Amino acid sequence: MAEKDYKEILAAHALDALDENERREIDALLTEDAQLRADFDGLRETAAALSFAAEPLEPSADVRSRIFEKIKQTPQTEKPKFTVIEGGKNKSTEKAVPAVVAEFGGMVTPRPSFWSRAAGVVAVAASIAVVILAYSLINTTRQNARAQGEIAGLNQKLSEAEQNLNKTSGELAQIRAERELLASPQTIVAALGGTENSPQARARLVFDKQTGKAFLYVEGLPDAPDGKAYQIWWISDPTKPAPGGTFKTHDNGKGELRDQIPSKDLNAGVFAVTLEPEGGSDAPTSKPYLISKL
Amino acid sequence: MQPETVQIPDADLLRAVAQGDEESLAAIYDRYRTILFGLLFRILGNRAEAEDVLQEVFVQVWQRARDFDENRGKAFTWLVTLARSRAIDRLRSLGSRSRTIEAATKESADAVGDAVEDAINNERGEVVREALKELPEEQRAALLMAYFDGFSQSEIAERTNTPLGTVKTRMRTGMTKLREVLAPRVRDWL
Repeated sequence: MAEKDYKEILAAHALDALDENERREIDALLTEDAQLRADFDGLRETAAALSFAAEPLEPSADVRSRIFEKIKQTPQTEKPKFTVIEGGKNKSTEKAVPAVVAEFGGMVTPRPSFWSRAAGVVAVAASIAVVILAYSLINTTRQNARAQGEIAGLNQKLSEAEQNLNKTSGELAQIRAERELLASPQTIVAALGGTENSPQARARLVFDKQTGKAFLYVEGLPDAPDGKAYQIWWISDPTKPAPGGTFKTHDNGKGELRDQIPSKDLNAGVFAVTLEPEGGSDAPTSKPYLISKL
Repeated sequence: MQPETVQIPDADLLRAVAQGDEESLAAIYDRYRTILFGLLFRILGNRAEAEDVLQEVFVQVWQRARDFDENRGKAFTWLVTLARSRAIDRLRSLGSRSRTIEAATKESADAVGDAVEDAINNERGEVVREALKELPEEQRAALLMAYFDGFSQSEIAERTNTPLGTVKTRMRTGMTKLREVLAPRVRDWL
């Protein structure tokens, strides 16, 4: 089963709605995959919250007394008997010790020798130590698995946050560049109008005549077909238009292009946009879709 | 409900129950009896059966409190899972799972409507019902059929005459949406 499928059935498992085969398969995975386990535990809590959708109801008063009558006859687990030996006599007491050593009392009841008693005490201590260690190990393993799941989730969120930050930083940098361009005394704004290819299209070209930094904003252009893109041309000599960058449109024919006009073309008097192969052309291969004059 | 027991975390109460403390079991009973009994009644639709199962659940809590592992989830989740599981087992043994998609859908709509109209004095119930209300009817019905009727995805597909893949998608999407809405609240509740 692919990872996607596991996620697919996790929600159903939290509702105990899987068929037996799927349930066995996912249960096996849940013991191995900490992230999956964390996801499942979260969904289990959501499922438990569904219980609040039921109307709270008061049970009959005698249910409480019935429960407590019943538990008086119901042992939790057998309380372990721990035999303490004093002066050769056995004194039994009930003590809450781990279940693993619960049967120890029965092993030392005959009058034992000092060494056998000592060995017994050492054995008990060793057993308790083993149980404590085992418990600690299991607990630590579980905590680690849970922590790993949480770390994986946090890493994912961090990665998403970094991507958003990078995107926002890029947008901010572009806004700053645009603001600088608009504030420059050398900046020129050229209007481009649609041609017969795209009568609804129009555009603004904002560029710094000294540095060559340029932004083009278009709207109303038809979507470029697959494998095609729009390209801007800087035209000083009508027989030799200089190629600029390419762009695609989005959102009802809107598009943007940030470009650098080559220094030799800074005196271009005309700008045009044509439809070209996606990588751009050295010379126009179509009639203009947008054209302007200064 | 005793004020002093309200302040004791559920997990601490369960640990005390595991050590044989009946008062802690009583505190848990007093804290959750109405929500658990409401859940059992909703599943079984019969007061006597629901009370019988409620008794079984708390005897089981007494016996199995040691099994509760705080690292795996909240005490309330453990209690509810235990109670629901017992109730679904009882429901299956009674052979009374006869509700159809129409009934489940109607019930879910009724439950939502009741919550809105009666302004039930139960904020959590209201929040969950509102969250359910935001789901499309098919998703809500799939979740409720699974949770309250104990139907598997295959059984839901068969009973609703819907492709299994569609049921799986509805269940996954519904639970994902529900989790998004409830997760921030559930952390405070449980």
